[in-house]
Amino acid sequence: MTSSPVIRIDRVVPLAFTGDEAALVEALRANHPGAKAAFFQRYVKRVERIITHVLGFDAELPDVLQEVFAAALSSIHGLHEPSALEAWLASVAALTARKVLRTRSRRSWLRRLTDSTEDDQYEPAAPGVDVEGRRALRGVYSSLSKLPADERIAFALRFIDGMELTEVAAACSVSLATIKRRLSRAERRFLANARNHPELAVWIGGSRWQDR
Amino acid sequence: MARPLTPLGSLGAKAAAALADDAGVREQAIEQARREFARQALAVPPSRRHLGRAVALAAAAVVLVGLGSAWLARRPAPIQFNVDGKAGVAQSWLAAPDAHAVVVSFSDGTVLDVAASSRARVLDTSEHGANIALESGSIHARVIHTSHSAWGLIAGPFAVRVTGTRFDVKWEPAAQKFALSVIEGSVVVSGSIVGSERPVRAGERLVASVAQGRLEMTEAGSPAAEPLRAEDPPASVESARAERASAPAPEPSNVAPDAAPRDPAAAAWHQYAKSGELRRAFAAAEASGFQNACDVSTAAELLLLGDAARLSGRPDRASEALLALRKRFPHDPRRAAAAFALGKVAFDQRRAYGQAAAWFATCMREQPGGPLAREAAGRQIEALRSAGDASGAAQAARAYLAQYPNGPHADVARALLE
Repeated sequence: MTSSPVIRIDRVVPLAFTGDEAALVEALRANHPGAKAAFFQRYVKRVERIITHVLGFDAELPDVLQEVFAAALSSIHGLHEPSALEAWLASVAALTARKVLRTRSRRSWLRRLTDSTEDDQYEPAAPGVDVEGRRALRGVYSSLSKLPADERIAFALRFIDGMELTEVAAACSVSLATIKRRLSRAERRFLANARNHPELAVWIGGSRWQDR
Repeated sequence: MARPLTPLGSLGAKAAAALADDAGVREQAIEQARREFARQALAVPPSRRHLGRAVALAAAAVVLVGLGSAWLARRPAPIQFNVDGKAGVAQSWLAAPDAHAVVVSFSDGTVLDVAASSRARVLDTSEHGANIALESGSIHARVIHTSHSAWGLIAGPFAVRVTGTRFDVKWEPAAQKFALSVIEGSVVVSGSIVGSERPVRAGERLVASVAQGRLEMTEAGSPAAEPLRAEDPPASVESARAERASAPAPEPSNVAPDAAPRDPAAAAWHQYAKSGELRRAFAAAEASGFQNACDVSTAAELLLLGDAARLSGRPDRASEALLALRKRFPHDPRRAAAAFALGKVAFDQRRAYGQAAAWFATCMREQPGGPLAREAAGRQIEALRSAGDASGAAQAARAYLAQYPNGPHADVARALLE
């Protein structure tokens, strides 16, 4: 059998939309299928960290991630400043997390009847694992679970995700003054809850908050 | 980003680091979300939410209601399909057994051969075609052409738009590799590194490696264009069909969503792992043959298996699974995550600090900008310090502070340098 001449394009092709965020936003608005894939690929890790930092270990993470990106796509036309795509997406993620928390809060009476193993996820699974970290994690999310959704989100973004105050304010779509007040309330409430968790004493014991 | 230098900031950093320990497990969730999001890429795009338009649409809807019954009476029904001769249901999971392919035949004459060991779904059907998702493996398609044909296929981040044609398509999720060979007609491919719509015509073959950012287009029949199914399991579509002609009727393949993976023995551990019950997953993998699981699992599954073994206090088995990943999938991006996990096993469970430092360094070298790079850099400081390598630890601390001055290990790094 004689083979036909080879036409070979053997080169490294850059990922779609490696340019600035504005180009990506424009392509998303034009419903470019490659843009959607690039959008997801580029930002999913960041969104996953935000969602995980707010919700903790979560069995519904795939659904929540998908909801964030679906919500972002459906409202991408309302993004006024394309270069702020990442910050805007963080606010969509925060808003989605808020919706999840509020829905769960409404279903909490049912969850009490059916879901008794939530805390097990934070159990140190074996000797040698970072036991201290796991226990701290359980204490943190147990304490956070008693906070109102808005305060929990602000707290998680500031202290667990490590966002700057201005970034937290933008993600929560409120002013800097509002986020400071919200964080102050969240800290007080968190510390009150955290005192019921001895595993957190090493962090909150003797801290400036105890003197207040 | 910077956490406040307060006890709560330190507690938050500790929580973030503990969450990062299980980043490998959450890769599964990300992959699941990506698949579903990619499926939506074939759907009609969402429209802008303008009140005026909504009002206009509502008015139009009122008019349409009047015409609705007549239209419905004339509207052609969506095409139907059978899976190996049995009525198929949209969204159901098509899991071809290892021994033979599954034949999906549509009422318009279109036929899809889902190759042995492949996984796919018929997402939805219309009167003009259907949307198919190839989740892993390969499909040989013969799509009947009409003036209104509208067929779509997604495979990983790629979308294939089809009118009428004959083609082979393959998607390897672990290697992030996509291949398409068109035998008749033409199709249009888009997504990921292919970018905007790119036609692929009869006799052409497109191969895309997402992980390597590499795209190749060759003419079929050329030495570079190896047969698409050359890497398939021995039971190819044609040979399987021939075998089936004389074999007993196969088990139904059109099973419920989230049904067992390729190997029933592996199903139990996989199901437990997917639901987050890692200790049970490990016990099930041990019961069904851990070595076999290491031999047949995908890269993502091996990472999960490694986590399951690690969290079950079995560093030997964890290393076995993670090393299998690195050996069997030399180009997979998860190799870096496996190196990180091997570092944690060495550090936390074997107290082999020098070895741990080497694995963390491997993780950073293989994916310097990856999601675990910062944690690996931090853990490397701890590993070198614990191994008694003071100068190495100081060097790692300086490098860490230069790159992550506010990272969760910044305090450790500064303390070490003081």
